[in-house]
Amino acid sequence: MNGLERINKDIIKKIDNLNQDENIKEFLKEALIEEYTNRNDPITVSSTDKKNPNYEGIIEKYCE
Amino acid sequence: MIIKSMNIQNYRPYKDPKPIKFANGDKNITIVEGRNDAGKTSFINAITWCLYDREPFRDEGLEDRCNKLAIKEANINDKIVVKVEILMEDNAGNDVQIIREQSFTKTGNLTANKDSESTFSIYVEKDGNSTREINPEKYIETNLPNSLQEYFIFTGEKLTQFLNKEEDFVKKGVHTLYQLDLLDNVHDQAKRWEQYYRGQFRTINPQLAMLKEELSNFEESQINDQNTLEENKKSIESFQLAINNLYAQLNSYGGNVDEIRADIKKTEDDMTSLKYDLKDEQDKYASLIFKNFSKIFSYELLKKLEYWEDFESHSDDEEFIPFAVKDLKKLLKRNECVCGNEIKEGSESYNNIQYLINYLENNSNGKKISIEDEISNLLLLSRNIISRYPKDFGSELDNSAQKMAEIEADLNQKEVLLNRLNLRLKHLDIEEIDEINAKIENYDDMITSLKEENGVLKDNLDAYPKLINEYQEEIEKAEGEESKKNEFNKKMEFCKDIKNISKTLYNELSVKIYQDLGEKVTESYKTIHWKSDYQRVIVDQDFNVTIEKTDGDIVSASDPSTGSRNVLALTFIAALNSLSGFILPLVLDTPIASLDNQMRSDVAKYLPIYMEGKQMILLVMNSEYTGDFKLNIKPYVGEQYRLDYTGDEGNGKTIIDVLED
Repeated sequence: MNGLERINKDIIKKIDNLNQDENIKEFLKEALIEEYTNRNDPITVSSTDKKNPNYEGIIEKYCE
Repeated sequence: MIIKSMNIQNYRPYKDPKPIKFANGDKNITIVEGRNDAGKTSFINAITWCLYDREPFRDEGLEDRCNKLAIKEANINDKIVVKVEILMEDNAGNDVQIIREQSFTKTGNLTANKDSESTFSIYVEKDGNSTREINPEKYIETNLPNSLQEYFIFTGEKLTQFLNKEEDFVKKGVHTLYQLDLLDNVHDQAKRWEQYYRGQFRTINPQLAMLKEELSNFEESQINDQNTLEENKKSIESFQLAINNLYAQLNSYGGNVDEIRADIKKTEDDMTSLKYDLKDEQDKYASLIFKNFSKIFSYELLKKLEYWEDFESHSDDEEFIPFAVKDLKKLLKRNECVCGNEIKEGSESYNNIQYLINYLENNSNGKKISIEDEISNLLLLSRNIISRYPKDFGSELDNSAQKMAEIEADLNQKEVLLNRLNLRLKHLDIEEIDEINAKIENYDDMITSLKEENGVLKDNLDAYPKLINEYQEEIEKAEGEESKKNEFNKKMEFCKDIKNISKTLYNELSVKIYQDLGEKVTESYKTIHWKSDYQRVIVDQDFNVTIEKTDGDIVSASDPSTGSRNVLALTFIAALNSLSGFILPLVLDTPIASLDNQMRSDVAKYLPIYMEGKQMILLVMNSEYTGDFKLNIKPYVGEQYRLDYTGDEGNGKTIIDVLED
């Protein structure tokens, strides 16, 4: 997963050890990368409900 | 990110560019030594200015960013560029060139005005290609957040204050350094998206069941109406057949009753019409008589008076006088004169007529009477009256009378025909025929009723396809939405799971971090510098640091002496750095100034062990980089430099030299 090297390895390790479906684990990793990439990005937090629009695609991808 | 090198030009005491390489790897410590005012603080300010456009460690009074010597050597209006260039390596191993520069124009011997604010650019070299970042500020914020600067670049003074900062300082740092903020944001976003999908789920089409029921009703009605239509058609055919049979039955009676009845009806209608005509003609005739009564009477009277004028020759005519007397009496009784005018009883005319009547009656035996004058008058009058009326009155009256006679003759003929027709009907079974006719009428009514119903059914059947199609489309859309609803429900549940899992993860990691921090700090602090009455360093869940003593007392982090406190802060920072999710160089400006020789020796001996694999840049006084400190740290030092300031105070420059052993 592109950008995963930027995320704290302890957190990744913790996610990998979760007793959860793979799609949940993968979602968490990709969401962390999204948060890392767009940290404090005004575009992603400017909507009225403060939803990051980039999540829609990630949810679509991993929600089975 | 690893800092590989830095090149400073015309920035404060640094005039001539000279690349400084930083150590990394096994020997991960870079030592930069220099006496007071050699440029150590400007060195770390150069880093923060380049990365964040901030100079948090700048001493008061040093306002000018542009090197004074560079200004001095330049000509008036010459451009002087202040530039700091840092070469870093990102987590993926790509070189990242970070450049901040600002242009100045010389205005006086030692003065220069800035031309503009600084410009910032970043180039990332990947697979042999150098790409300029479109948004360098965002790049830095992503990879080396501004908020983290306070956790990886310190001066000795800041180090002393590190554990005594505002309440949430450490907690915020840990939150960001460990990247718990990312997890927190994931939790927050999962919560927001869960709410969003819940909202969508709620709003989508609660009408589907109703639409389906209505469509089902329409489809059922369509089938029912079609069936009814077909049944009605069969019924109509059946009734029509029955009617035909009944007509055949009627014909079997040998005469066409309908025809006879139709003839009777026609004859009756003709007679009615003729009677009306006769009545009209009679009225016309009466009207003619009425309108011309005076003339008629005068005419009759005239004939008689003319006759009478020649009375002697008609003396034998006995019929004449009684007739005249009779008419005059009638007139007088109605108060009418022979001229047609009204006469009142006792009037002269009335008396004259009365006299005439008496005379005629008295002389009815045929005797000659002397009334010539009166007769002459009457004759004159009668002729006058007659002359005022149309001359064709007589023929008109005759025509009318003839017409009446003709109509009466027609009526008589019709009467004969009607009697003959009725006679024919008497020979048939009228009761049976009436019953059949009643049946036919009933069937006709039923057929009419069924045809009317079929008209409505056909209209309905014409309308159903469009209506059903509309409902089907709406249902299709609603079912699409229904599947969307299920999808929303699924996503909502997914986000809910993510929300709960990320929260649990966050909580578990928070506990792990403060426990790990406590253990690491205790271990390193114990090793580097330990007082015999200290039991352990406690880091609570809010990342407040306290020390537990052997007697069970808890003391604050400021309890140890200044030097010991700095060691505690150093060990804490080292532990924090080792737990950090970011790869950050630790830059410390004169961190050991307040430590005694033993502490310096222990820091030099053990700190590198706890910072294993982490890049560290230590700026120290040249007087500090000696003895056991130097001896103990030397095995970990990859690069070492000496800063030396030359020239007049404020107008000179810092020379960077590689320090030989």
